[in-house]
Amino acid sequence: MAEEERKNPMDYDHEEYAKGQKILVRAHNVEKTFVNGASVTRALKGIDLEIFRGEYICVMGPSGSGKSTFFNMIGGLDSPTGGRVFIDEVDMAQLNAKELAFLRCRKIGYVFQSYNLNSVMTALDNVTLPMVFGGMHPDEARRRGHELLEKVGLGERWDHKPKEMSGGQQQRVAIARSLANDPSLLLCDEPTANLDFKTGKEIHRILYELNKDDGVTIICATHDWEMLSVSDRMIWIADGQVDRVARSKDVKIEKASLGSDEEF
Amino acid sequence: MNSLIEVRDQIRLSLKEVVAIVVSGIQHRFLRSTLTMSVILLAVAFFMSMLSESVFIKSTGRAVQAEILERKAPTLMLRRMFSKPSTKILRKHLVQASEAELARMSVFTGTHLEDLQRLSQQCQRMDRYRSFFQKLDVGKRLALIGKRKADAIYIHLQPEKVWKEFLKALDPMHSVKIPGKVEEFRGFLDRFDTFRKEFSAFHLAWNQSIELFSLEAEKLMGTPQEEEWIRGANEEQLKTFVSLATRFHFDVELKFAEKMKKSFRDEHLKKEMLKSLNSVEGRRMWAKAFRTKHDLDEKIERLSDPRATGVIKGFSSDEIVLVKGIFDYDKHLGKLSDALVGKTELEGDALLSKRQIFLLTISFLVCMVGIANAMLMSITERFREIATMKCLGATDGFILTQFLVEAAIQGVVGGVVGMFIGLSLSIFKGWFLFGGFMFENLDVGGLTMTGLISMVSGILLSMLASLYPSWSASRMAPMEAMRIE
Repeated sequence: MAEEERKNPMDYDHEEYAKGQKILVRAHNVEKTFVNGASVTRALKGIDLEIFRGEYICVMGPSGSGKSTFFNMIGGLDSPTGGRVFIDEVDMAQLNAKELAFLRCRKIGYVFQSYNLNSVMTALDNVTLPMVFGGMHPDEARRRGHELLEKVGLGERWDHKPKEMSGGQQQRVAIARSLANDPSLLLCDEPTANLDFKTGKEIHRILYELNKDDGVTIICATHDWEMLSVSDRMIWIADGQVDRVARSKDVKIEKASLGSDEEF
Repeated sequence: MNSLIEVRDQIRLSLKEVVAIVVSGIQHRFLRSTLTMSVILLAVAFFMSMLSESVFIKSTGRAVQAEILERKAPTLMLRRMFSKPSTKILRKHLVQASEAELARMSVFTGTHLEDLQRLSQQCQRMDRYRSFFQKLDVGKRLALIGKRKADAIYIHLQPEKVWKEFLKALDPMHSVKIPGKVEEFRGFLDRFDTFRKEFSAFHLAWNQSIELFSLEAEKLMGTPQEEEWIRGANEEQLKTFVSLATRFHFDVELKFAEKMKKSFRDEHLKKEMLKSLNSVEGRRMWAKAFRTKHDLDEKIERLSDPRATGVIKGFSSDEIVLVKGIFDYDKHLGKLSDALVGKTELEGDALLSKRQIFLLTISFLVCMVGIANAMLMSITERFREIATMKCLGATDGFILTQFLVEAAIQGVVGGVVGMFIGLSLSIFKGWFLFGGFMFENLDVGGLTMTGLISMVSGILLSMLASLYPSWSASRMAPMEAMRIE
């Protein structure tokens, strides 16, 4: 019906693009409805998407578009009311609580807009927490924790608590934490929204390097042109549906025309 | 298909690892944990102080009562030996008598032991019915038995016609129940005349024996003033007195006789001293010595004053000290029993009185609500943290265990400290009310018991109270938990 009539959101030849790529995440007609007393909110109205291994994806959409809800579906943080999410052809709905915990612990890294660090723990303790859950030996966890903090440029500040750090530093700790167990997928929900331009840029650089050097698949909700320019594809979500998908190299023209003012 | 992601069950952390995480968490949020712990502590302390106070009151109350009885024992015994009891008093004797006492009474009056046992039972039953009729409110009482008094009721109810009317009137009064079975009451009524006859026979026999004993005693003492005689009796005379009393089956040993002697002497001394203080001469001299007038109580207070020693002629300083001691001790006992009034029903063997059970239930509820609230708060305010931890790979079981371990640690610390605080509070209160008397009669076993009860209930309650919120938090999808916040 109305779903059928919807125009194909792909701005490019998806068949060709998909050739030779391995699918990491596949969303099939994902729906989510929130019921709060009498009010029913349809946050997602059937989303179909394929995300490939090693891709850098940017997701955009106004607030309330269902972007964050979609993120949570992919990350196994919430369960869809309809449709299915596959990660590497594993149906998330088929996983029990322990398997989901395993997946969250080792295969998916999360970076939140509000960092969500444990405020009473030091940076190092925050980073090593997922390793503890993964059963890593404490000495090994500490070693790796230092290594990861070094990687995000906070090697010296490992024993500081979140409230003693700036927002950018906290977000870098959060990124180090998300990398604790070598995930194949990194989900970043507006990681730079609370940061100023310059610190945001540092975060972009770290994410970009992770994607290019370590081959981590990154899905990132953002409005930052800086970040969009380095991504492989962009996805627009509006009103709980995929509005448009485009390859970033095709969008660059638009960016130039829109972005000349935005740079400053 | 060569999948790069292989999904397995998340590993389970050992209890040791969980405890380590919880302990570091408590250290990190020390202030908040202390707050939670102090709520548990206060609740346990409150509960403990109520519990241990009831133990104090129980043991002290028993001791005070025993002490008061002990002080009265010589006078009571003397009265029993030499005066003819009223029906009421004799009935009380019968009801309270032990098996051995009944046997002695049986020989004393020449009544068969079985008859006496039956009499004693009848008396007990009578007491029960008496209190039943006494407690009836006026309207019901009038409807059931008119304005009759005690014994008259039973005679009034005997005829079949009146009995049937009584039952008919009783039937709609659902709240009024005759103690025991109705048939038992009917049986009691039927046997009432026989009982009365038997009882008066027993009473008569008792009075005759008393008379006989009095005669014998007068022969021995040569004076009708038995108290005075015992007071002045020497060792030999006391022994003769004891053997006479034993011949009449009174429960008197030489030791008790000596106690009687001492007690009567002290009493006499006290009376004499009071008389001298109250005499015209005494009052005049007192006023002269102290240059002011005192009433009797104030005079007794000042007995140890050196000026008083000069006034009270004819008494040695040892005697004055002795009398002052008696006064002080009596006053002390009086204060103790005043302090106990209304706090406990000292009769009966029930561990706790109704009032105490009520108070304890209330304090237990307060304890429960306080702890439940503290645990609920400490978990719900950390929903976001729980959600984040689940994102990082914490299992449902870990979250649940973590909070239960935390609750257990806080419960143990709060419970132990609260127990000791509650104990010291109630000890302080007990000391204030009863002074050293409480420590002399400390029920250590009971206190240990109450300590354990309050501690364990603190720990269990905090774990139970955290069970539900942590269980529901652990089962929530991470984002659900974040949304709630």
